[in-house]
Amino acid sequence: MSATPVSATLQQQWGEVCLALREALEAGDEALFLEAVDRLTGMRERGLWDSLRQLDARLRAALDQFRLDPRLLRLAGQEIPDARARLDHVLKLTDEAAHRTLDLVEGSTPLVARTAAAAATLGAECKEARESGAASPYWLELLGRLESHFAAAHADGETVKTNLVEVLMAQSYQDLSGQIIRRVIELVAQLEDELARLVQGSERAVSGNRHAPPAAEEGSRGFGPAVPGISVSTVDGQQDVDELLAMGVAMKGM
Amino acid sequence: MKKDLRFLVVDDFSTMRRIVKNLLNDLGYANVAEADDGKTALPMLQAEPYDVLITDWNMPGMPGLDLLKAVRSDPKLAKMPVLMLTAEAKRDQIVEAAKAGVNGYVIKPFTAQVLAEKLEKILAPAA
Repeated sequence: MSATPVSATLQQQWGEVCLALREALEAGDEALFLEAVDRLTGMRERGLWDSLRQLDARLRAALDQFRLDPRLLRLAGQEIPDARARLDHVLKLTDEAAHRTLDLVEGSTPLVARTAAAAATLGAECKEARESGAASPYWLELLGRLESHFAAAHADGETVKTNLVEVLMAQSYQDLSGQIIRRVIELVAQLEDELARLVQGSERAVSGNRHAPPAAEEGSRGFGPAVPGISVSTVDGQQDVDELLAMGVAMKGM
Repeated sequence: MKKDLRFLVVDDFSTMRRIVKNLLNDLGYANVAEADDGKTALPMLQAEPYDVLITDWNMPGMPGLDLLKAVRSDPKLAKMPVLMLTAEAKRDQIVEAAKAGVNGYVIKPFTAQVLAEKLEKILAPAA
């Protein structure tokens, strides 16, 4: 069986160390043998280290570029904190507007309730007077008109009361939009944190997003209001909720 | 229905607490206390007798689901009717709340009528 031809490069690169290994082995010289093994592994690892050094240099250059990019610095240092402050301000403004509306609803509801109740009482009294037979034709006609007016005033008052409840309910937008805005503020804060770490060029910048909240905690805290086009697996109305609730209760007993 | 029932409304948004309080007042319930998250609510529930708990889910500090579980695991509070009033609309969450022992689940935005109906339903055994 003829020996496989060995290329001159291989012979040149590895021949000497292989020979040293073989000689040390045959001579039974452990120290020499280990020294040859070290030399062999050193030669083998040199290529890997060269690649790693090049990768490190490229990474550092990329991070340096991040540090030097003025747009990125402005984003991390000023614009993202500004964005958070603006969103906080939106929350404050909507909160104030909703409370102001609630002040007015709470102030108006008893007034209209009192007016509607008085109209009902006076309307009944007009009817009683008109039907007593004691009134002259002039008073009969006037009492009839007053009765109609009080009936309309009572009905209008009741409508205004119902509308005020709707105005009250409509203020729940502040809670719903507020929850969505708070979630965006949290995301922006995380982005700010990550950018700051990247800009600092720290090794930690590539060690994963340790600031992201753990998934379990996220689930317990909730996901916020359903957002069309974004939220998945959400219910479709209160009836859907009632059915799921009944299903969950049944499962509880299992 | 008993009108002297004592309610605790837990929500981190003061507007929502005020809305619920107004609706309860309209239904004739004048005795309504407020807390802004589970961590504040739990000591209140343990210190004073409340008849009904209405809680949001998504709150900083202690979320509503954790409050519900804490209530159910406290022998003194375990039987208290709990209504969850929340924007959390994922199907799994509703099933999870049911398994944790919630009595009613109303999704935001809601109407005054839905709140009244659900309250009537969870209070029916006590009335």
